[in-house]
Formats: sequence, structure tokens, C-alpha cells
Amino acid sequence: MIEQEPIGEKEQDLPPFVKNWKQFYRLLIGWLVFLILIFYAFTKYFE
Amino acid sequence: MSVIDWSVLIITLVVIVAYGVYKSRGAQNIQGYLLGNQSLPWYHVCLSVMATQASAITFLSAPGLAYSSGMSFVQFYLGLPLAMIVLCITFVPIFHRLKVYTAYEYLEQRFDLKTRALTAFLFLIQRGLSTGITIYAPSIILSTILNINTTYTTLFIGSLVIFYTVYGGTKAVSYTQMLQMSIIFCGLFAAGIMVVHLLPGDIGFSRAISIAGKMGRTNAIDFKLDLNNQYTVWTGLIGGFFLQLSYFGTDQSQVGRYLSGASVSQSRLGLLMNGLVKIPMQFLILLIGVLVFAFYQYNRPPIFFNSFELNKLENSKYGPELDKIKVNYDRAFDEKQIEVNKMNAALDADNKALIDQQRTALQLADEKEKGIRLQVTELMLKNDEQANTKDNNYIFLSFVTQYLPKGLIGLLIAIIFLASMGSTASALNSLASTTVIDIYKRLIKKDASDHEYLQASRLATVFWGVVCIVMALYASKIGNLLEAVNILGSYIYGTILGVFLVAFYVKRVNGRAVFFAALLTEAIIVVLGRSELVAYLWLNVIGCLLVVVIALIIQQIINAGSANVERSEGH
Repeated sequence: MIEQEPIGEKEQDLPPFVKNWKQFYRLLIGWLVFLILIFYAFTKYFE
Repeated sequence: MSVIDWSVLIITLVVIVAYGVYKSRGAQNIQGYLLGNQSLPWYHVCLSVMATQASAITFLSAPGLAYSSGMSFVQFYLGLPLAMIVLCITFVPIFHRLKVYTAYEYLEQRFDLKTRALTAFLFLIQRGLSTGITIYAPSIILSTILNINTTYTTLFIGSLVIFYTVYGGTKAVSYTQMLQMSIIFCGLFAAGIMVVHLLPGDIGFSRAISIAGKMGRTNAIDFKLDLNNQYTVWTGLIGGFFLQLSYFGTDQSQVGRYLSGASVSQSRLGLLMNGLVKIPMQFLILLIGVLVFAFYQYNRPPIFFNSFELNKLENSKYGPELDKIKVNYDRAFDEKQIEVNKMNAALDADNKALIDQQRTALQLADEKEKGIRLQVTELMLKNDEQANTKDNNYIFLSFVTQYLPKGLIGLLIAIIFLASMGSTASALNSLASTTVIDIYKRLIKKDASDHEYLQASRLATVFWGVVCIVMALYASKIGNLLEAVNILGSYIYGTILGVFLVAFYVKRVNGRAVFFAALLTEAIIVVLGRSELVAYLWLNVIGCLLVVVIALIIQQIINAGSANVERSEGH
């Protein structure tokens, strides 16, 4: 039986679409800022 | 409701409960029952976390809130993505590494038994009480449809949830929630399209929002720094962040959901996707409420949306007085319609001066209508001091049952049921986990067999189910349900979060210091909350910071005392 090299925790822990978790966190913060700006524009436009 | 609606409702409920029971069959041990063998993928975690937070209250109260006071409530969720990030960095890896069943288990490893027991106890109180409110919310739906007392409907819903939660544990909860959320998204999308479709032919989506906006209903973002304003960007980002962090990080009903993830990365991904989706989802739910408001600018709304209470008043000795108020209400609506049409003309002409003038006229007409509705509630109280005079939670429901087509009514009613069942099931499961793992297994019977703990978990689920049903029976006297749940959470969450933050980040504080800091903080928060000096979201921040500061001070005193003793012994 050929034993495979165990996948390291860091490698196993990678998120999809981005290189690392830090990038995913930045993406989420960017998304939040975008939403606040969009909602602010919505408020001002329709008030 | 028609036969078609009843069929859709019953089939949806039966299929979902059967699916949950089928997928969770064979839970033979406590690990499988309480943690689902930690085998679930990220999308399960994400939908389960969302379904736990989005109770029926979300779908009943939020559109009602948007109808009566606008969309400012969306700001409540602004801190959520930030909280998800902190959770993924700190809480998730630690809980996974230590292989805990509950969040409070970790506190004994870090501090001591009494701190674990205190936080578990605070959680049991908070979750036990708020789950009662969660069960009550959908029970008012059946009460309105069948025109019967909420007592019977509360008993029916509570029993249904207890059944599948007791049977299948965490897996039943997660599998039913995944299906529930899929149906909820589809149903809400259909409802949004239908509201726009029901608007008058010459009123499109944008014009409907414009009209509602001129009457103050599109106030999604407010940057003003006002401590007494419940919903601003700052209360949402700061207060909301602390509330969401404590809710997701320390409330077992959420911790239990992401602990069932197959790995740290699956749990993380589930939480981060929740951070991406939650705010837009909440915005769309509130937008449906605004569209319903716009719809009722062209169609006369009921003078009071809770038909059960209105029927009671109509059949009382105050009936003739109510008829007179109704005449005034109809007249006020006709007058308002004239102003709405003038606003439409002003918007067509893009005349800013006229738009400003009409905005004032519309707001006055809106106030007049509110004043007349107030007369009705005063009359209700004269007739019956115990009458439920808040009808926010009935607004969306009343619209659905009166104006939506057959089949869709049944589906939307089912959605409200499903949402309630999802969050209630998570709550019962977490209450059982905490009771068995933190109280029974730790303090009462340490060496029982796995089978005994499994049986104890099932019994605990039944026990908490009954407690929550009893609480639900008292919930009818509380005004806006959504706010009531959040206010209750703010009294307790800040303290629990403070304990966890000290545990994670302030290594030099020990169990004794944090335990007394938590007790003292809770007393201060209760006094502060009762005095209504600040908006309730700030209680989370204050509670959390107080625990950290007081714990540091107490630790300093303990250290100084120990140093004095050592010095005197040295002499």
C-alpha cells in the first residue's frame, strides 16, 4: 500500500477562489463598504 | 385559505419534516445527536446558520417594520460581516481544536467550573425565553387565518418542532434547515415579484419606491451620531458587531451549527458566506415591506391589520364608535390618495419645488392616518385592557392572504412556518446540548454511558420544548416581537461575549476575576437597560467592555493582595 503524504493543515485550510483566508476577509470588508455606499445612494435617491 | 393553499402548506411541512427525519435516522450516540458527527459541508453550515438566525419573526416583523417606520432596520446587520471575520480567526479554530460540544466547555478549560456554569446558565435563560417568542410568531398566522386563539396554534407548532428535533437531533435540524432556506428564497422572490405586479398599471417598481421614499420609508442608511437612535450606521457597525459576535460566538444555538462543519475550513466558509449574503437578504425583505406600503397607497389598507382583535372590537359595545372612526379613516385615505396623485404628477414633471411641497403634504396625510389608527387602539384598550394593540406583525400577513394568488398564499404561509421551525429546532437542540453537556454530564452524573446521555439529550429537548411553549403563550403581550428578542439578547450577550474575549485575548486574568466581573456587569446592564438611557444595541458594547475592564481591575486587586501576603510571609 502506498501511503500518501498527509496534507498539511495550512494547505487543507485554503479557501476557494482566493489565495488565502486574509484575502477572503478583505473581500468581505470590501463588500460591506460597497453595500453601505449603495444603500446610502438608495436612501438619498428616493428620499 | 383555499384547498390549494392548504394542500401546498401541508405538503411542504410534511415533506420537510419527513426529509429531516429520514436523513437523520440512526443517531446512536451523543456525538452524532449533538454534533451530527461533524460531517457537514460549508453550504450546509451556511444555510443552517442563516436559518437559525432568520426566524419567522424576520419574515413577519421586518416587512411590518419597513411598512410603519422604513428600512433603517437593515443597519442592525452591518456589524455581521465583521463579526464573521473575528469568529473565523479566533473562535472557530479554537472550538474545533479543543473538540468541544458547547462553547461554555471551553471556558472551564480556560478559567474554571463556576465561570462555565454561569455563562451556560445565562445562555439557558436568554435562549429559553427568546425561543418562546420565536414559537409565538408563526402561531399568530394560524390564529389569524382560522380566527382562533393563539394558544392552540402555539401548541401545534411547538409540538411539530419538538417531534423532529427529539428524533433526529442536530442532523435533522441541519437537513430540514437546508431545504427550508431553499424554499424561503424562492417564496420571497415570488412574493416580491407579485407585489410589483399588483401595483397600478402606470406605477412601476421605481415609482413605487419613490412614493414610499417621500414618506420616509427608504431610510436605509443614517450616518448621524445619535445615541438614542436605535438604528444608525454606528449602532449597526459597533453595537451590531458586538451583538453578532456574541450571538454567533457564544450562543450555543449558532456555535452548535458551525461545530457540525466537517473541518475548520468548512465551518469558516459557511460563516463567511453568511456574511456575504445576510445583509442583501435582509434588505430585500425590508424592500418587500416598502413595496407593500406603496401598494397600500393605492389600495385602502385595513384600519387595523390584526383581524382577530378588530373583529372583537366590531362585535363589542364600542362597535358604533368604531364605525364612526372608519368613516374618518376612509375620508383620510381618499384625501391622501389625492396627495399621492399630485406627487406622481410632480415626479413626472420632475419639479423639485412641487416635489418638496408634496412631500410635506404626504407626510401630514400619513400622520393623520396614523392618528386615526391610534384612536382604534385606544378604543381596543377601553374594550379590553389585555387587547394586543400592536399590529406590525400582521401587516405582511394580511397583505399575503388578501391579495396574493392561490397556491402562493400557502407557500408563503409555509415559509413563515419553516423559518420558525428552523430557528426553534436549533434553539431546542442547543438548549439540550448545554443542559446535558454543561450541567447534567459535568455537575450531576459524570460517568453515565453514552446511551444514557443520548436519552438525557432527548428528554432535555422535550423539557425545553415545553418551557418554550409556555413562554410563547405569554408572548402575545409583547409589542414588536423582533425588537423584543433583540433587546432581551442585548441584556445578556454583551456579558457573555466579554467573558469569551477575556478568555481569548487577556491571558493574565483568571477565573475568579472574570466570574465576579460578569456578575457585576450583568447587574449594571439590567439597571442601565431598565433606565433606557441608551439605545439597546449599545448595551452589548457596554456589557462586553465592562466585563473586560472590571475583570482587569479585580485581577489587579487579587494580584496586589497576593503580593502583600507573600511579602508579609517573607518578613
